[in-house]
Amino acid sequence: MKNTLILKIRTGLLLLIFSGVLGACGGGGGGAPLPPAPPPPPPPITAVFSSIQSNVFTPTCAVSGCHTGAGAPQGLRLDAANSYALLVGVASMEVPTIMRVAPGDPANSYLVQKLEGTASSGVRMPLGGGALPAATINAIRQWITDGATDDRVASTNPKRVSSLSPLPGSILEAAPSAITAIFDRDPDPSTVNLNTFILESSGGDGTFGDGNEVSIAAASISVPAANPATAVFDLTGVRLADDVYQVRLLGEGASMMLDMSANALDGEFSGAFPSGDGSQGGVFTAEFEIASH
Amino acid sequence: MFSFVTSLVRRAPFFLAIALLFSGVAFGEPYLAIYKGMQCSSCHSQQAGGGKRNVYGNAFAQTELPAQRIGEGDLWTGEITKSLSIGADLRASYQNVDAPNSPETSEFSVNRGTVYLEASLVQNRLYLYVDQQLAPGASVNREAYLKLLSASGKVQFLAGQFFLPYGLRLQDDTAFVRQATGINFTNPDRGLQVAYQTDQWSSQVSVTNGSGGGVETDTGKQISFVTSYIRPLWRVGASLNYNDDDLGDRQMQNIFFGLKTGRLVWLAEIDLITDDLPGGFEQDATAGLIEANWPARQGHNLKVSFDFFDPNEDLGADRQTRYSLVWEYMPMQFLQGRFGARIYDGVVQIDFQNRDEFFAEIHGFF
Repeated sequence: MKNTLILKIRTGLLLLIFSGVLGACGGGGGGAPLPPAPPPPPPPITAVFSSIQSNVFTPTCAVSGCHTGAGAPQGLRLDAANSYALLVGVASMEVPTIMRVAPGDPANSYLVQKLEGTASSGVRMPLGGGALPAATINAIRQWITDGATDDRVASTNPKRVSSLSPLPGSILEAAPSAITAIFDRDPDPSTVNLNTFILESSGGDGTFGDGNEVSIAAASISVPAANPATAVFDLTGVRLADDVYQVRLLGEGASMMLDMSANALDGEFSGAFPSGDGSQGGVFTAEFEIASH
Repeated sequence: MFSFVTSLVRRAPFFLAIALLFSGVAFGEPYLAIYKGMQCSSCHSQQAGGGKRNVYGNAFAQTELPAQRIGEGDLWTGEITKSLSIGADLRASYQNVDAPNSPETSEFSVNRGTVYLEASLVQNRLYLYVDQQLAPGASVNREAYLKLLSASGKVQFLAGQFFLPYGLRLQDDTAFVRQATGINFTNPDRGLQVAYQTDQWSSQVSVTNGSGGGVETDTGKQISFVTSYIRPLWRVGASLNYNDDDLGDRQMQNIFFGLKTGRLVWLAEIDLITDDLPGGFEQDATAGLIEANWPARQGHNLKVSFDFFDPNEDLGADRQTRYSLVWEYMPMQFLQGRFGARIYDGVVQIDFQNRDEFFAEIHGFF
């Protein structure tokens, strides 16, 4: 009943607002643009900083546009590159007598107080969006209780591929608008490029390694700030014919993907995520097929 | 600085379009200014609008906004003495939030209670202004500045802490154009501002720390500029913002306009935001707003809006939209009720970006 009501409201609003005007905003136009491939979901939240960053700070606090960029409220940037340094052991601007995150002491961490709505100053976060689920806040509390360490820096484990879109082995009825790889930790963006993120078609014979493969040029290859644990091979404007395609992420050779601690990608892929054989190096290789007819 | 200049050059067509289309406001509820064809400063103490209402603004709010004026007696002007005036806003709400894969929540809360104090130190020339948030929680200063007016009143200087001049000065801080730019009523900054206003033009420029109201940690500063051209039935404006920050610069620009067609008032704004990221990368974002207001009868306004936000133009799957339907009802002077629904659509896997909100808000002010 409620979903029906929401659908009616949404439809009504769409009708009320000029569709022609909105079309300009939405980037629509002639033809039938393919729906963009959504990025793979981050793994469920756990009480470690990288998980909290991926599940809370990045999607809810930074990507919303609030706590990001120069001029972020109270100077608090919560994007992956800056959040830890601006949170842990740093005095709150609004209540300078307590730390934003006081390692070992969640009750006296301003971050927790702001999320639970018990801070002595200002409104609960996230602004205007309802409270975060209790399980999410509990994970943050536990991370602080455990010492509020940065597992990204401390880790010397090799970086692994956690997921890929399109899924390996999938058969697609339409060409994807992007290839998205998600890692278990943020890659070094400077090592994600056309030399380390490669897409090839089989050349029509469905096999690779026989010399007739065709390299696909991306519109761009990037690590989006919105989700810095991913690498995106953008196919906007790139026509992909029906064929078998191979994605390769290089963890070895002259050019290879590294994480922010210079650990190389542990790439070997046996068909089950995550990738890797437990040691740095190796090439992640996966295939998918486009069969539109 | 060089990158700022090159970026401006790169976006020259954007600004050229402004010039060609129209030739350059910032508004608490800008649709009212457009509906009346007036400057924001007609009702507010500051040229950029928002904050304390002046004598006319108080009279307007008691006579032209409510469905009926209850009681007899003189109008409240805000003036306690000849040289001291006050004002206040209190917003309390009941909000229901329903996000996928999360328990539905509903709660009563105090959104914001603020008190304004303005002292006229030299009549019509020098003022001291304070905007203090008293609720929820402990007291927080929002604005505190000295205001110096030229003899003609056209030029205004501010020094202290104030909200930045940029874009439509919407009451709703969660509108994407206000949230994504970070320039809203939760994020003041400290520095200097110069404003110039004529019958048809209103412009402000400020230089501030650029630290979001926090402690400054470097020597880089933030420059904000907004200008608007105002006609009785329409207005158009543009804004620029450049924040020089050691952790990564930000550059923003927008165009916005307002239009009155019969009893309908239209607002629109589109913002382009460029952030410098670690590693020498840039990220471009776009935020937009289209809003229609229908003050069908005195005391009533129906607000319909569409918000759009693309946090990374290089990524196609991260766009967010918001649809809002809000009925604003002012049964009597000093009291407004707001009842509405907001429907968010965003990245499917991020529940927060796909929530539905229903709210009822009571707003008392003088």
